[in-house]
Amino acid sequence: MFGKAYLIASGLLALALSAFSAPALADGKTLVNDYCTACHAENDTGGLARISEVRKTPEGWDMTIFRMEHLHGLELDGDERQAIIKYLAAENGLAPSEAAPFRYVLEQRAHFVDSAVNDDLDALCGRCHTNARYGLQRRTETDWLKHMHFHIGQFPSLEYQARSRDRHWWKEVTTTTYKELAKLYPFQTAAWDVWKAAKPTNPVGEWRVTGHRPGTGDYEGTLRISRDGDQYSAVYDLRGMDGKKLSGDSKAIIYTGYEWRGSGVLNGIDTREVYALSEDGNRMTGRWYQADHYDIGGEFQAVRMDGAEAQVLLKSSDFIRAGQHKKITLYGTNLTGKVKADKGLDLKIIDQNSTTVTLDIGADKNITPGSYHVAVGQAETTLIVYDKIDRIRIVPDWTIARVGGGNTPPVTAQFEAVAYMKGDVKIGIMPAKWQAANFNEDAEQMKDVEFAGHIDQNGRFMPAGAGPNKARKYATNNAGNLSIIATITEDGRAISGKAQLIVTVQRWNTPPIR
Amino acid sequence: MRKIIFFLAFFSLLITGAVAEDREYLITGSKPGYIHILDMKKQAVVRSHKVPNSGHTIFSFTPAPDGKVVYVLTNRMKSISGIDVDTGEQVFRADFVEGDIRRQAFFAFDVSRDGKELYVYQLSTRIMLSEYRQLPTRIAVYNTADGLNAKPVRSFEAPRRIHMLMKSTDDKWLYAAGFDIYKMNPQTGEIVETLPLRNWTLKNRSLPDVLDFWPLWDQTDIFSTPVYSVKTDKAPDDPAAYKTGLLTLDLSTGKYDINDFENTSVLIFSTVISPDRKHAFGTYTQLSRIDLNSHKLTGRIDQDHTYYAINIAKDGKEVYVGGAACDVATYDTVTLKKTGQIFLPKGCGDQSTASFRIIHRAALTP
Repeated sequence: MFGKAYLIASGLLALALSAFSAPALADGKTLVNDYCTACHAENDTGGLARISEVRKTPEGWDMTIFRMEHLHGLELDGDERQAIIKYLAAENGLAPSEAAPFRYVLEQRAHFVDSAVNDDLDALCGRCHTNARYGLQRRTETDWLKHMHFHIGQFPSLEYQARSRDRHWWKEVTTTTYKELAKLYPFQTAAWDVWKAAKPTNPVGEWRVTGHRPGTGDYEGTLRISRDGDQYSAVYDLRGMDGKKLSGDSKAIIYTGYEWRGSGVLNGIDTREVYALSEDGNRMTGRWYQADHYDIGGEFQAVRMDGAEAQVLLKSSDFIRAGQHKKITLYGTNLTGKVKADKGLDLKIIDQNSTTVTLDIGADKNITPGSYHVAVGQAETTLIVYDKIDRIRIVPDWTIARVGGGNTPPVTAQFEAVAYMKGDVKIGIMPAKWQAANFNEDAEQMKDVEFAGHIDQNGRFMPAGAGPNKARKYATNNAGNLSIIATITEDGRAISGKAQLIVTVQRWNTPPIR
Repeated sequence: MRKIIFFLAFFSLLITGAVAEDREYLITGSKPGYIHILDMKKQAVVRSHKVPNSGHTIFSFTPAPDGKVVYVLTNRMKSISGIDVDTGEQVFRADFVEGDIRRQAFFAFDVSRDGKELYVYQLSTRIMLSEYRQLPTRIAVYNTADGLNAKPVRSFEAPRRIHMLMKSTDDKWLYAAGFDIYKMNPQTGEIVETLPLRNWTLKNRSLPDVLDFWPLWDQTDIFSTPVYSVKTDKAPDDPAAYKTGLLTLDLSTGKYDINDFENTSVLIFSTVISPDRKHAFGTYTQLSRIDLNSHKLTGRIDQDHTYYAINIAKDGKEVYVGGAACDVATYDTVTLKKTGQIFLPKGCGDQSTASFRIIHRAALTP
């Protein structure tokens, strides 16, 4: 119901950042009192009705404000909106441990596995939402019940949908489900009490960055964070394993003491950042993605340089073949110690500094395949030595893509080929030849592979355009059920792996938490 | 000149003579807020009326028994608008909202056979300052004579999840289809009989799955709908475990039947009974014909695209499929060959889940 409007508004959390002056965030508490108390009266505990009975992520509060604007006539300017969300996420947010199981949704991943605590919740909530949607909320028992009343009042079709028709939906959610949710996701938790009382950490300083861009490869470099009023500025100096620079900057707000939400530019492309600071404030992990394509982005890990232990965070390659020589670079912090390796590996240091060690590594021809240690002082890592590839596993082994068109960009699917040797030992990601095929007889009959889109040689599947296609049987759209096949040729022998891809229709409703 | 005028007058008398004849029209709805009157024998759209304050979508509609007015559920399910079929004038309006209570009708409503009353199933929500409160579901009754500001003349509580309301042809009963089909006293709402659906007693059978909001009984007064269920004594990978059946309820006699007719192989959204009561026809992506004596599928063809709703000509020779996109196709009931296709006027969004009704009335002048 909020579909198109959300297309415009969904980026608000991040978009708003660049629009207003850094130090001018208005006082959130005053604004909540100014705007919200017209409807939300003071409750028994001295808080505000509903507002003080729920806890949410910043995205959750953003969606609440959006609903108030679109259904209940709330009018706010960008600064006020931002300040209210920041205030509510600080006062009534989630502890890091509470948000941790569901970060995949906050991080706008196109591929994730989302499972419910039980089949009933999957049917009652998970059939429309991700299970993260309600898993990222905390409410009093009374408020969970009010939430059910809101649902049926706002979405009268609820009781008529598949997985409602097999049950007395309304009776179930108002007698059992709300109590179950209140137990699973209670308003009061020790984790939140402790987190709310904790002193916030300060992210200002130098950070060592490593990450992975599916389909493109790993990257590494540094990040410098400085304070900018109520916000933070970040400057990235990164490099891909191919040596290509990846640089840019961003501005970010930290919500709830750990939820980093940034908006920036990397190599000229607008990006969004969803990271979480660790509870000790020395590590930041998450994902960045293209502002106009949430399906394209990178895994992100940053470690505070100051006081960092000796550690290897990334290697330019995870494996070497028996009988081969290979240049492998280790990226990390405090890599100043002596370089050593397990017997069977021959090491030559090409270059070494505190963040990077480049080695020429030789693996003996008769070495036993397996995992071998490499150490730089206290920092330890492992390299896989393999003799030959046994099988290819495509990651993810099944996923979806969405056709696109008009205001709704296509959602691509990115695959990677991971090689394994005998004994099911993972070797690592390898380049492969990619192709798509019809998954089964039905797909064959509908000629899905001709219509649904195409896969490039980096393993990215680009779906075809949306809408009815007169060239297809039933004039149906370009949906399809495909096999994705990756083939690696080793010593003249072709080894293939297979994944399944469902190319499906657009998602019209794209709120920040699906 | 005089001769010409005389001739024209004579000719128009002929036309006027034709007006008195019973004619058949198909009614469909489309976004943004239109109803269309189609002459299927002529394969022409003869009227397109914009429904006032429609909020874009036409949900269900039901024509008055005399075919002069069509009552349209619209305005995001919050209003029923009565539209004069000939002129397009709004002659009836019931906006359901009542103070802080928001009421919405989820497709289910019907008009009494004497044309005097509308029965509307409503979900009710009290919109409070900082919360919503769901109120009991109910059936509200409106007088069709109450004009543009109609209010319920009576109302009574009704079970949840009703998707279809049907008046019996003698107006003595109101049938409400939901988990089961409830036969109600239309004055009091008292449930006098429950026709089992969820509470069916078939052995080794899952709960039946039914969702139908297409009132398509214009030619026979028999409501029909596909019923999906699973035989629990069969292995899940056995195609014979999955059954499609047909539920029929005769609104004249009250006769109620459910019979399987195939192992589920395609989806059927809606069905219609032939005027000779020998066949049922169903649509979605295929057009299906079911023999009602043997309960067997006797024909199936792929349609050009997916349609949601189906209706049939009085002579039983043609079925019409609509809903979904912006065209209405005609198929021969014997050969199942497509014999016609009408495109709705330019600007049609889509028919979506709009009803698909047939009226009989005096001819509409071009």
